[in-house]
Amino acid sequence: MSRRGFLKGLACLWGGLGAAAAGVWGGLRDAALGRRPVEPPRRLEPPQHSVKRGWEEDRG
Amino acid sequence: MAEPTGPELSRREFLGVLGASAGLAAGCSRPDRGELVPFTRRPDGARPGTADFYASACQEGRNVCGVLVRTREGRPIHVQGNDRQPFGAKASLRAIAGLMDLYDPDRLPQPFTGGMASSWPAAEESLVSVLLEARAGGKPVLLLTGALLSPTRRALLKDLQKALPGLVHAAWEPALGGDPESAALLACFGDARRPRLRLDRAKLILALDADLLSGARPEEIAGFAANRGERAMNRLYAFEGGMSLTGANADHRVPWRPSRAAALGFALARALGRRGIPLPAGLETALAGFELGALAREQGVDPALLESLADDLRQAGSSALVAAGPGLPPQAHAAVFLLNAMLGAQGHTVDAAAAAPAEPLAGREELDRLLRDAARGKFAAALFWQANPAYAFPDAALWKAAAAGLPYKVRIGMHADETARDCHLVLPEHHWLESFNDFEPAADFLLLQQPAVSPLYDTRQGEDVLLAALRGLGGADPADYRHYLMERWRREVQPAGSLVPFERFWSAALHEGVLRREPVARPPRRLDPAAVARLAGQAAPLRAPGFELALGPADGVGDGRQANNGWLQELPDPITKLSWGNAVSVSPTDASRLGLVDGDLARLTVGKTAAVLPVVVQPGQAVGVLSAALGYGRAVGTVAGGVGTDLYPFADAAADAGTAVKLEKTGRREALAFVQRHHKMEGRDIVRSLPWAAHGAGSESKQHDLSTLYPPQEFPKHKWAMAVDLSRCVGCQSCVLACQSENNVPTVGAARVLRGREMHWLRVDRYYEGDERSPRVLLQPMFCQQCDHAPCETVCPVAATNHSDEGLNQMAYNRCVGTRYCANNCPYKVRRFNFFEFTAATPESRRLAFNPEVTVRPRGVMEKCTFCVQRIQEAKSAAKAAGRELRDGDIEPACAAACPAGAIVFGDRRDPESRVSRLARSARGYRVLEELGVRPAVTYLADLRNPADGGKDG
Amino acid sequence: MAEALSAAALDERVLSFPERRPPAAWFAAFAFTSSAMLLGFALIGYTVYMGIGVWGNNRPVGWAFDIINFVFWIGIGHAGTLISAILLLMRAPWRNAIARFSEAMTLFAVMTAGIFPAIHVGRPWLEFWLAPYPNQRGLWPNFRSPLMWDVFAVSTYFAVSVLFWYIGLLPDLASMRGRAQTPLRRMALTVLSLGWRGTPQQWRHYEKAYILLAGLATGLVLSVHSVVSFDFATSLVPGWHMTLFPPYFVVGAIFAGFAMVVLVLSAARRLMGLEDLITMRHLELANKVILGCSCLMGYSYACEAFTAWYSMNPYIQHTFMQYVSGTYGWAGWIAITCNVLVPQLFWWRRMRTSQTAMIVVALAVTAGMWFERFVIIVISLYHDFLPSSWHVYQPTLVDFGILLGSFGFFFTLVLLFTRLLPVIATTEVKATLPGAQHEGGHHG
Repeated sequence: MSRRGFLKGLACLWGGLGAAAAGVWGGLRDAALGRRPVEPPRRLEPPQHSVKRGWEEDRG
Repeated sequence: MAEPTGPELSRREFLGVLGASAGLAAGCSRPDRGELVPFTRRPDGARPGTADFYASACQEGRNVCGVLVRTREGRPIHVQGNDRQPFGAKASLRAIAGLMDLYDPDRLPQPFTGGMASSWPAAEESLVSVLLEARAGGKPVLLLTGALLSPTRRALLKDLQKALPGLVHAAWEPALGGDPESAALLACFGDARRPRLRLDRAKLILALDADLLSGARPEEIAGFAANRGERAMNRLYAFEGGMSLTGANADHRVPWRPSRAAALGFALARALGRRGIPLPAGLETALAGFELGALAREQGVDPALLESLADDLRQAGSSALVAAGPGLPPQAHAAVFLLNAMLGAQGHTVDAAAAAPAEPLAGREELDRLLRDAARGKFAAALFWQANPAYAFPDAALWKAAAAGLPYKVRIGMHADETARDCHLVLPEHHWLESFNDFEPAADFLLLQQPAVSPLYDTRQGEDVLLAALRGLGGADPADYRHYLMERWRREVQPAGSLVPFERFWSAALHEGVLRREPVARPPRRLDPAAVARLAGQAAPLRAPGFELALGPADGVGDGRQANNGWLQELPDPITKLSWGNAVSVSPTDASRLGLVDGDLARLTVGKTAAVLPVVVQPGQAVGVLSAALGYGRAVGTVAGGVGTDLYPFADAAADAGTAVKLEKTGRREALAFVQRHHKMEGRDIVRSLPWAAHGAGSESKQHDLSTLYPPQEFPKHKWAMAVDLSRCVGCQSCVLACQSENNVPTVGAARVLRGREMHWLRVDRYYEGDERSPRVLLQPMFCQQCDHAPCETVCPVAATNHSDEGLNQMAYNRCVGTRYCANNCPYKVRRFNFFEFTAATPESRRLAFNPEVTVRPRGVMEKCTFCVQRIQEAKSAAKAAGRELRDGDIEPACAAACPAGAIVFGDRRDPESRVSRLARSARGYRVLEELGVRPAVTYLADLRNPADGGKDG
Repeated sequence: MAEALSAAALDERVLSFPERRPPAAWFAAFAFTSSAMLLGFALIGYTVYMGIGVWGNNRPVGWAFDIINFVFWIGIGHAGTLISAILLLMRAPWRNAIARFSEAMTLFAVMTAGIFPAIHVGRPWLEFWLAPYPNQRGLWPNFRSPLMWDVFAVSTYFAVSVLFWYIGLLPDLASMRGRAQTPLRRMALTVLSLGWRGTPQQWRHYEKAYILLAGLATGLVLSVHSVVSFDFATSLVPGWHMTLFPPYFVVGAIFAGFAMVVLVLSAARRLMGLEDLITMRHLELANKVILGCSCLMGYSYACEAFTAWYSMNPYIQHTFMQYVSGTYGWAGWIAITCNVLVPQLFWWRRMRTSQTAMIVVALAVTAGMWFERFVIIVISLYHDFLPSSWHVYQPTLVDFGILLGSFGFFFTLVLLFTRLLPVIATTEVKATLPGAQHEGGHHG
């Protein structure tokens, strides 16, 4: 086996493994993290007409 | 427990409250990402960093409970019970979980017309025009809802009926299977009001397939637990097909086929007749065929047990309480009415005087009729509100035909669910945390629901949709449902002749969340013996050999409405400990006969309907009875979709005694996401259970030599500890959910539960003891024991966990590198490791439910129960600010606050008079794995059982 | 024969390896091991990126392949230290030919083992917090934790082994420098050999240093794996909490290490034509050590069984029964068979001196010792005090891939070693040649 041939073969092998790893990486990452694009609510305000309990009065 | 009854609103406080509400209307804040923007004009009373509480109420089918909603920075973060409500101040399991539904990313954000995004004016216009056309043409309109339970809703529907005479309304709760209880009430009493069960007054309870102690019934749990202890002890008999929490906590649990529950009831009535309580007129002959001894032999039960049950009933008299499960046929309910009447329980433990107004629900026949009419094109339009027939109606073919025959369909709901898929108009609804309403759970008080947050999306209350329709139809009405509600209260609820201005009355009511009132005096209702006799004649004979199928709503996801709630899906079934799915429970005898083990896939066939679902072998299950949970197998929902098997197609066929039920092995298997996989204590001293008769002698506590080389740690100011009373704990798991809500505990999903990576800080362990055909079930909440000689503290290489000077085992999340040595060394296995990045993976809207007082944990970090240290700190700050000492009862960790039974007590061991100190000194008290020398700070009080023979057989 | 054993011939044979082009077999082996290594590193990267969840660890089995592999590889390193250090102090002459290779294997095994504590934590980028360095927060690590003791033990072990090995290499590096053909090579070797000139004074310093380090390393043979065993013995997990553990682990380490030595040396002597330098006598002696350790392992297992019975402690008894029955009972039986039964073949001299037999036994011991760590760690954890937490453990492909990668890493280093450095300590061997007189020095 020539040195060049060997190195080429090794490079292909490593390249292939790396590519496989990267593919697995990307695909599983999103699946595992369960990410999906979702709009959070735009408004987050206290209610307008409700009557709240006093804070010191009772914390429940 | 010193329940704070609350001071009357002082005038000053009230004005402050009024001012705050006005001020809140003026101020507003926008959530910004990563920037903190101070108010330019801060509303009065709004303090960032402190919590605001709103009293409200949560309806679930026919039940409603009062809640207190904790909000921070304008958003609700925790739901707990409203301490002002009578009987059991705790929230139900699904009310606590309801917080997650508010932030569900699958919620509809706006109306949809014909599948396209639309606006409210356009949607309302479309709806009104269809209704006008229907009225003009004289064609009826179908309105299918859930149980109403709200007097104002009922009034609105009445008004709508007046404006639209062709309105056909049906209230339908699919999991209740046609409401046989109301049918029986009507037949036997002439009115369908369902009485209140006063377990707190009951010394003897007989439950026939009645799950009185589930997490949906905090009031019953509280009543039951109040009489479980050294001083007072009731006795619970449970006869049931499947194993429920009621059976698990019973002093005598008897596997009994549900189809024979009626026969048992009638036979007991005859037995009472022989013991000196005369049977009502005419029933001697009607009940002649029911014989206790024969029944006992038929069901394979010791006849002496049934005789002693009859003795106990006789002795308890009016302190007895007999209850039948809602799924049982009318005959069983009639038998129960008879027993309660004979025992004199009516008016005492079974309180009809306090009963809520009757609301019979639509049964299968009525729905069939309506849908067939729909298929024939009788209706001009149909509105579906809080009802999901595309999912829950058993006959899918009939539904399809009906949907095809309805020219115009409207869905009012929170999600684009199975029914919405077919609808022309999809109108997004408020969550209950965004809504105004009132509820009448009993005759003597009203619950008010008010929003705890402004609507998150462009949604409306369902009632407002109907009001808009009413307006369009010409009924002159107020601008929105809130005003409608206020108007009705002004007219009908505020006592006539009251001198208090209505606004003040209204604000006070909203503040409290509860309004007590005198129930309208009614003559006590009488049981009609002829009706009972008639029903007795219809009591089901013993089925030919074969199975009977008992279906009921799941303990977690309920009837399926909340199936998209990750908390509820991950919360394990309290008996099977199965999460993320349902399975059919089979008795060990039947399972071995069919060659089935846990996880086998079996084909369940009822008549022509078949489904394949996994099997769980259930110790204690009655032979010949299969049970399974409804509420699974949803087709839509990011969380709910595809989880479990939809068993609604079997819902009514199962009740029919004539249909054959078959279960066959398929040879395939499915991995089941059990949270607990081993059920025996293996002879280890983990859960102690004593017969009540012997409790005075104390539990057989072994004296462990706990000498140590090290000097004890000093606790100068406080030494926090907990006591868990196992005789009160029923295993409902409300504590688990409250802890998850309070401490931002992530859900991990079925795949990770399969791998044993669920994150619940608090779990309820369930063990079976004894003969697997009729085992004793022992339940034990297990959480970090905050050991004084914690094995986890010594082994952490980076000192991320150590002991505070108040007795807490502290976990420093930001120091943890995640070697997991502490988890290996914890004998209780209460530490949870973040195997993945759960927090960042939480969808943004769900992150709004996080409690800002509790750090969220990143990947690679260990977490565990902290005794709610944030609440401890909050209480200490409050005491300091008020210039007083901490009092016993000031601090309530989330689990203790949520427990309907009051089984969990927290306090300071340095105070010898604190409740927790007194409980720790109890003769029943012991510590789990004490012999390891870890010195846990949690004392368990041994479970007490009160069997009729005094516990001779253990 | 005599010619082959002359000093010059020895130099030629041993020192010429790094100068020659390696045979095709070396390339093939290197391709295989380096691919495995790369796979392992890729999976490690994946783990660091995604989280420990990609492994099979769960509750209650918080440690599994990660710590099994760690203990396994540390154990393998012990043979080299014993051969280099203890046999040196015992003045056993037969150590010379195999000392360098075994010592190198120790080094590589410790390097491989060191990967696992680094990657098994949830937040490896913060692992430096285990190092006791002064910081502005005034935080020191928790010295009561056995994992901290591991940090000190393993890093000491590594440091001493590296020094020991390197100092032993100096004269050979100098010899190679003398034969260097290219200026680059000559400069590199000059630097590496630290300018060794072989003066008597340098030899005296060399000897003193060598003996000192041998003395240090000797203690390490006993202490390092004892400290590793403390990870288990000081905890309260049933099955771990036993005073038997330190000697048990040390014996097991020597056992596994010698098995690996036998495997690697058998291959090396054949492939590098060194059968007369690394002789059957060496291998036979190693096999005798293996036999002795096997008997001691058998005694340890019996001791565990006796302890479980005598203690009347239900938790320990249950755990012990799980070692030989239940879900993972098969692993227990593999360990017993491979560790206690198979090596008994070495009672027969024919087996001890048969190349095939010793390779079979060495493979069995390697596998058996891996399974023994599996038994100790996974089985003790999966069924502990509260039955409600009992849960089965299932490794994932990532676990297996990293295990494979660790072997790849180790053998890649071994292959590189054979390619770049003299595998036999020529100076030491020369000193033992009949009639050979090395100027100004004698040792060994």
